[in-house]
Amino acid sequence: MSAKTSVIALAGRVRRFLAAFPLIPVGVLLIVLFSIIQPNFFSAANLVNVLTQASVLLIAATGMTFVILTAGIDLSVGAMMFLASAFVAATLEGGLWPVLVILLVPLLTVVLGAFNGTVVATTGVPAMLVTLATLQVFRGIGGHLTEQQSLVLPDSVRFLGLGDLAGIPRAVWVAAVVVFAGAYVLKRTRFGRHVQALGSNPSAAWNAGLPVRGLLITVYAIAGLSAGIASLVQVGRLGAVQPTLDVGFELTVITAVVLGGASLSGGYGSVAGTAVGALLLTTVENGLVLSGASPYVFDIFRGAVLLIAIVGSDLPRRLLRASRRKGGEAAITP
Amino acid sequence: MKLMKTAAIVAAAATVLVLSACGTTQTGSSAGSTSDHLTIGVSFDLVNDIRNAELASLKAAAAKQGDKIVFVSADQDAQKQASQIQDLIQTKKVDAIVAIAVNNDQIASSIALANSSKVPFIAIDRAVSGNGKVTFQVTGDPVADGKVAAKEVLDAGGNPVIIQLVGALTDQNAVGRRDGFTAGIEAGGQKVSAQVPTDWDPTKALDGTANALQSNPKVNTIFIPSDYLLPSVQSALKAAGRLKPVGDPGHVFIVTIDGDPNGCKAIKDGLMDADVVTPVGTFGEQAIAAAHTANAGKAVTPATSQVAGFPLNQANLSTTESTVWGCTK
Amino acid sequence: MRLLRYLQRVPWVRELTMLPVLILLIAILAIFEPTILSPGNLQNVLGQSTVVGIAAIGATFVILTGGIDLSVGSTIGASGVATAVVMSATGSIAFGILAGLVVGAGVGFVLGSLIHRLNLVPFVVTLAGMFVVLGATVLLSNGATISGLPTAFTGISVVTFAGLPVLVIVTIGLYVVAQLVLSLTAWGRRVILLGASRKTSVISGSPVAGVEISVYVVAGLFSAIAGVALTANLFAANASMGSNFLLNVIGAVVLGGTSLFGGRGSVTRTAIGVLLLGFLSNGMNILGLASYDQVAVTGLVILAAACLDALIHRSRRAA
Repeated sequence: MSAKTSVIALAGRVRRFLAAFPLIPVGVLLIVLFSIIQPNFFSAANLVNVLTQASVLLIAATGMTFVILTAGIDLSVGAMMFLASAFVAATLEGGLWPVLVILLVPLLTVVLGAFNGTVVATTGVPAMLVTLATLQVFRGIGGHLTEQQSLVLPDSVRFLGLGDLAGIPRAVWVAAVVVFAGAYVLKRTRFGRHVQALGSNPSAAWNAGLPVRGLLITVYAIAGLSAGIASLVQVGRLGAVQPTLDVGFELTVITAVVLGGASLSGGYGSVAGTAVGALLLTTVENGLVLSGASPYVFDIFRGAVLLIAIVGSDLPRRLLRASRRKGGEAAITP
Repeated sequence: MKLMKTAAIVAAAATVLVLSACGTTQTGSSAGSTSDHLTIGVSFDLVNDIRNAELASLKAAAAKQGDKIVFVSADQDAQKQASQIQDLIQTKKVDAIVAIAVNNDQIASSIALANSSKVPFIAIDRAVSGNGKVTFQVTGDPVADGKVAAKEVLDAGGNPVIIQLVGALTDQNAVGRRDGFTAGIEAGGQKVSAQVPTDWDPTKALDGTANALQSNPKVNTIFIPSDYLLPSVQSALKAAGRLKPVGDPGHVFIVTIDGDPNGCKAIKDGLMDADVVTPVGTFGEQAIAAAHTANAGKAVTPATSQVAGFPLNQANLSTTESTVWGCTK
Repeated sequence: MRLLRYLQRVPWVRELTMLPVLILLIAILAIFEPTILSPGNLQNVLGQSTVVGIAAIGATFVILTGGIDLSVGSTIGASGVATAVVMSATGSIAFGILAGLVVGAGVGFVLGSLIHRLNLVPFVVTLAGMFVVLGATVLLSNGATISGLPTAFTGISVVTFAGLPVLVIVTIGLYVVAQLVLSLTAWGRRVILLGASRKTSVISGSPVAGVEISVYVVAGLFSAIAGVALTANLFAANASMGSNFLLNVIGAVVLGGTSLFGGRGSVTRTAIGVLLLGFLSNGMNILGLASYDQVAVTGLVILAAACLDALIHRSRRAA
């Protein structure tokens, strides 16, 4: 009897876990697959590799999660990161102190993000259009600053992406701090709960008197902040600014967030889920390279994983909805 | 209400249509400057260090002749390049086009337009396909450059364990350099251990090199098909603790192509072994000279010219430096 | 402010907010560089706008339903490659174009079905579609550019009729037909209703499944026509040739004043958006702006235009 109930309880817990992290089985499957093809894949060294290579994506995607929770989107992150790197190169050339440059970068991107947020919150222009426009503005300014040259950067500004701490690359530490901070803010603070409330029911949020405009501006500023930190880590890892830097990176970031179970219609999503999504995406890239797959299949694979994950991750939510409907609750499907 | 709306639309549409319909038969009458000073339209596929150097060499050669350069860049968009060349020929009425094609086949429509407008078309850097009439073409030789790079590796002797970065597989310069290098290495009885696809993306180059270094710890030689990816490889080596100066027993032999400022600096700093330099100065001189020959009504012979790169390495640095575009910048 | 309120009362301003902006832009460009208004240059602008213009018609229908199609660039590449491959294999222009259209409609059908049947967000499905279609085209074509097409086909891009390139006339024809379909047919009304209110659509008995899926098929078809036109323009096709079109296509639709939330907009508005971007790009080329400055200016213009549009419509709603 008690054995039976505990099995049921365990099954329930597993189901809840899978509903929260539907990607875990997909990830496990991929890891097994890649390990069979390339035994090197499943090694401590390669694990550190994957984490390091995921760091920039993890950081940028954490901020994006906040934006997507409010049913918004930020297509400008890639361009913002390019502009931030260009800013580093230009200000260093202008003779600014490296320490000051590093401190100014997040400030710059917070302002850029807040600009996105202000336009979205006050004009009613859809976020996708606002950030599509600022994507071009930021990339253009970045190109102007660097004149499209490849500029090598000195070690003095590469602090966040170069070197280890306790045997683990600093980039990984920075990513871990950002992800945990993001998860804490979203789950444990009043602000985080407001963001979630705004995403799941905007009109209720208005009626409850939440400062909706302020919240929107803040989430875009957070996306800006994380883009700034991501850019510093990236500058540290790459050691150079190049004209094609981060072209299309926004789509990778959004893919990671959506893979992590966030809904683009707002309301659903978590930083932990996003982190799983970002790691999965990087694992796929790393595994494909290691297993010597033809680069021609990369795009197909990336798209297929996205599609399967979306369909798969939506299943638990669908089942939940169906069971609620059976339970007699009025179910309104959007 | 509806009437006003319709009227406004029709009026606007009619204006545009009528104005453009009037301008049919004026193509082909290129301004035809009677003096020797030409206006030359330059259309590049993109802007980066080597393109800036190529533009500078065109400008320098043009300045000597008193020519004017009108420059546009297509951001790697073939359609945009076609539009820009159309604007240059038909609206700016340039006397010649000098182009680096986004795509060697898709430039054909622009060549056809230049031919029908009787504007000389000169291709530089990237070879374009034969259909259509190109007045003159001066390019590097990617396969030969790859072989020169391979020779540098073989000349260093020892037992090279080689990884090779590969550029975008849709770019014939990337493919040519890969094939030339591989052929050269194999002709010397060695082999390439691993290839790293990069798609010309610095982040992919960094991550790919890190992966390759980790799965092949014995790697002691890296071939990079363009200096554009050099910073990424140096960062990967640095992160792995393997960026050692030339002569250090742990040094990884690096050979690249282009000869850009980063490549030149790496050789001067003793961090890199060899760079196969693209002679961009020659491109500018030959292209501008061809524009003048064609505008004087003469045929340019030979109609194609391939300029192979020359090696810059630790041994010839002091004697060769002054002829390398990346060192003189 | 009074001017704004006055403008809101003028009916065609409400419908075509961007027309005055377009005229203003052309006037400004003409002051700097009078050759912009030369007949030859106007012809160039129209000719250069055809590919974006055609693809933007399909995108308008999708956006009217509140959806989005990010696969447009990949579909342009895929259908262009299909056209070129079949055309060079069979030597038949008709078969080539047909192959391109089938590919485009097929992509649209698959994406539309996934979106509707599985109730997935269009942004994600078409994002995945963008990767898969591009990857599959690169794989099947080996990343190569397919050239050597019949001159009768590549000639389309230079043939003129009554002073206008044939492709421009075809594009104008497509716009007229699309606008008529949108405003005069039951299907057109259902597209707008679906975007305005899905619930009302369902209640009113509109065949929502058919409308939603067909909109993506239509978008695929127009992307395919754009791919064929681009192949003719460039004399050759490859997988990535459409990659840069996404921003311009969506930018043109929304710049014209079609709402990304669905239910509000028209094909005529899109035409204005296409011309705005076309003149902007042409003008900046002729003025000789550096490519990165062109990118920044384009972004600023899109942002300013979108804010203006939102301002006029919002205060109208408030009034």
